[in-house]
Formats: sequence, structure tokens, C-alpha cells
Amino acid sequence: MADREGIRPAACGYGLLGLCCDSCLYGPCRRSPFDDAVGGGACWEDGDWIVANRLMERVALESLRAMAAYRDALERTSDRGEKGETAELAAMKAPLSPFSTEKNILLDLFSPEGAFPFFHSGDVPAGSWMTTLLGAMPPPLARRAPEVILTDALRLSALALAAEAWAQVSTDTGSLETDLPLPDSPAPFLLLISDVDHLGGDSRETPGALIDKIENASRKAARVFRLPNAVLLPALARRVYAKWGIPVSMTGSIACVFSSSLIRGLGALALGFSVVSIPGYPIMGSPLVERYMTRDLKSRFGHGYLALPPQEDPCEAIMRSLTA
Amino acid sequence: MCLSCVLACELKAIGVRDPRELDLKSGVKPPRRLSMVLAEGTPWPERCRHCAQAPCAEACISGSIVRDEESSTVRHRPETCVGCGTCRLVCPFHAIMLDETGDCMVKCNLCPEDATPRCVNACLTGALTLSCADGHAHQKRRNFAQAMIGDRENG
Repeated sequence: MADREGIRPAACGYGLLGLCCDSCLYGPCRRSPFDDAVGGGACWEDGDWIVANRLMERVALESLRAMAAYRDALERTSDRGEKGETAELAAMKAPLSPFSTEKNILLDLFSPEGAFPFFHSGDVPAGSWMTTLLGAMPPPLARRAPEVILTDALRLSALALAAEAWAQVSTDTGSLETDLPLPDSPAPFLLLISDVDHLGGDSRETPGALIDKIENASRKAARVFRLPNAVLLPALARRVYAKWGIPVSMTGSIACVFSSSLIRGLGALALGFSVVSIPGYPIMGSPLVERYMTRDLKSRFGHGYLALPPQEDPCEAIMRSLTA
Repeated sequence: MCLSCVLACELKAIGVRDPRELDLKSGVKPPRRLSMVLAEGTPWPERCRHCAQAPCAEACISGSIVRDEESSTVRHRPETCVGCGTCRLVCPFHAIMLDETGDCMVKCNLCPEDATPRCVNACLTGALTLSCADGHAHQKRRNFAQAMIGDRENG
């Protein structure tokens, strides 16, 4: 009897393409990438919806974790007594309430509007972070266009980054501003954001070696900054707008995110950065979703997701984008 | 029923190793040589059984389907196939399909160029294995003999 001698695939192919759906009790459903008929599966949804909804579900799950971290940070702040208690504690609690009608304090990080054209396009989330999350997760089988789902996912990711920044400030370990040295005139820059704690084991090289390689390759084409996390990105986008008068999407800058967490990369994308993610996002199963994330965003707002085929050298792709 | 075997077979047919390399915009359609169906609630692969007396090989008018006794497989040669569909009519397992162009039949050849078929490699639960025609009988006899030895050793 012959046993398996060949190379076993690293992961589930449908999962890599984003064509898995376990949203309802009829599932899990898997859809062939070659099946272009409209409808299919138990709920009659197509591949585009499945890929978009899969992204949204992951973002929602990570948002819940981010909410838990935000709540813990608030608890630590309020435990310190009257002296250390932040004056904005009540306002900072509001984003977690599903009933809050007050102005969302997290939205303060996305002003002025001109610095965040994508975030302020269309309907900006009016309620709290929690109501935004609940609104973005409609009941099962409620039909929404994939583009609407993706826009919600991007905005939720940006809100999670903003919440992380507020949490750091509330615990006095961080600042809402950044002092990264920007040149006097607009120029593209490359941000290397390494979130090693969240990085899965399916990356091609060790993150450190790959980051060094990308940094060395890109140094001549752009100013390179290394960031320990993505919480400074809203501040950086505001600073770029204050200094150069243009949104960060117009500078051709790239955020290279080494994280298996989706909200970091998608949050950066929502803030106006072109994003390279390692590992990449499972969107290749839907030409519509891929087009929205890469070309549609790029043509409308000037920034987009750079999808890296598995065999492509990330350095070459980043250099190509920086020098385009 | 994860269907990983079906995807692996389709990717093999169009020469792609990693699904992320797929260019879906090109509109390429792989032939369906392997399908999974539910037989009374049990997942069941619908593919060529490589019959010892293959009706398709006997019915093929162009001699494109031949049985290879050495590897115990029924091989299909698309170079000489005229796509008449006779093999499909006589196959008792619905394992032969017409390809996208409509002028050639397709069936599982058991990946002769690979050590192990892609579907077997892709099966994450080990439900698909590659064995000789009488491999299972051998294994049963071996298991029975092992059990008998065990009984004697135990007294």
C-alpha cells in the first residue's frame, strides 16, 4: 500500500482563496473558484459575497478582541483613583456602549476630513464603535453588496486602530501624536510594521530577515520607518496632511504589515496607506473583491492593497509600487 | 466533505500548484475528473475506478483508453481521443466527462507523472489513499495474522 509521499498542501486551498463560509448552520460551504454560476450553496450566495463576508467576520472577531483590550485599558485607568483618572473617561467608555448616542471619541482621530478621504466617503459611522460593529454584521442571509461589506470592514478596522491608540494614551504608555521625521516636500515613505505576536507560521521567511531585506532594498527609493505596531498610523496621516496639505494616499506611501491580524493591515488601508500584507489576505477567490481592494480603491482614492502572488519577491513588488 | 481533493485535481489540470497563483480573470476552466457526492449521507468520490475489465477501454472506438496492467490503471490518451462519448455511456461510475472544448473526454489517469495523486496528497483526513487493486485484501489478511500472533503471544 502506497502512502503519501508527495508534498502535502500547506493549508486548505479554499481557505487561502477565502471561499469557505460557515456563517450559518447549513454550512460549512465551500465554493469552487472555477464555478462562475450565480448563486450556489445552501443560501444561494455567490463567491464574491462569501469572500467579502469572510473578511468581515474576521474583522468583527478581531474587533471584539480589540474591544476587550480597550475595556481592560479603561479599567486599569479608572483603578488608579481620582488623581490618575483621565478627564475623558466617560467619553472613552461611550464607544463600547451599544446604546450610546454621543459623539464617538474615536472619530476625533480621523479629522480633518481631508486627511482621510476614504474614511469620510459615503456614510461615516454615526454611533459608537459597538453600534458600528453591530450594524456591519447584519443577520444571516441579509443580502448586501460585497463592496458595502468591504467598506464596513475597512472602517471597522480603522476604528480598532484608533481604539488601540486611545487605550495606549489612557494608560500613559503612548501618545496620539508622532514625531517621525518627514521631509519638507511630499515624498513617498515605506512603513515596516512588524507585529510578530500576531504573525502566523505560514510566512515565507522569518519576519526579521524579510523586514531587513525589504528595508535594504527600498532605502534608495523611499524613506523607511520601522514601527512596532499600527496605532501611530492615524497620527502619521494627520501629520502628513498638516505638513504637506495632502492626504497620505496622494504621497504613494506604503505600509508593509507583517501580521496575521486583519485589522492592522485593513486599518492602514482605510487610513489611506497602500498596504502590503505578509501573509496576504484571502481574497484571491473573488475577482470582484480583489478588484475593489486593489484597483477600485486605487483609482478612486489613490491607495490600494498590493496583492503578492506567492512566488513573487515582496521587495520587487514594493519597489515597483514606490517608483511607479 | 471538505472538497480539498476536488480543488487539488482541478489545480493540477491547469498546472497550478498554489491556489493563490490562480488567475481567475483568464476564465480558464479545468476539466472535472473528480467529484464528491453524498451516497446515503456518506461522502463518496465519483471518479474512475480503474476497473480490471474496463468497459470504457472495450468500448473506445479510437483506442484512446487502454488498461495498463503494470500500474493497474486505465489510462486515457487525449491526443487520440475524438470525444465520441461512447466511454461515458458505458461507464458505470459516471467517471468520464466531456472537456470544455467538447472534442475530447477527460477522466482520472491517477497522475502517472506524480508519485502520489494530488487528490490523495490534498486529503487532510487520510480518507483517500492510493493502494494496489488487492491492497485492502492484503491489509486485511495482515491485520488478521497480526491479531492471531497477538492472541498466541498473550497465551
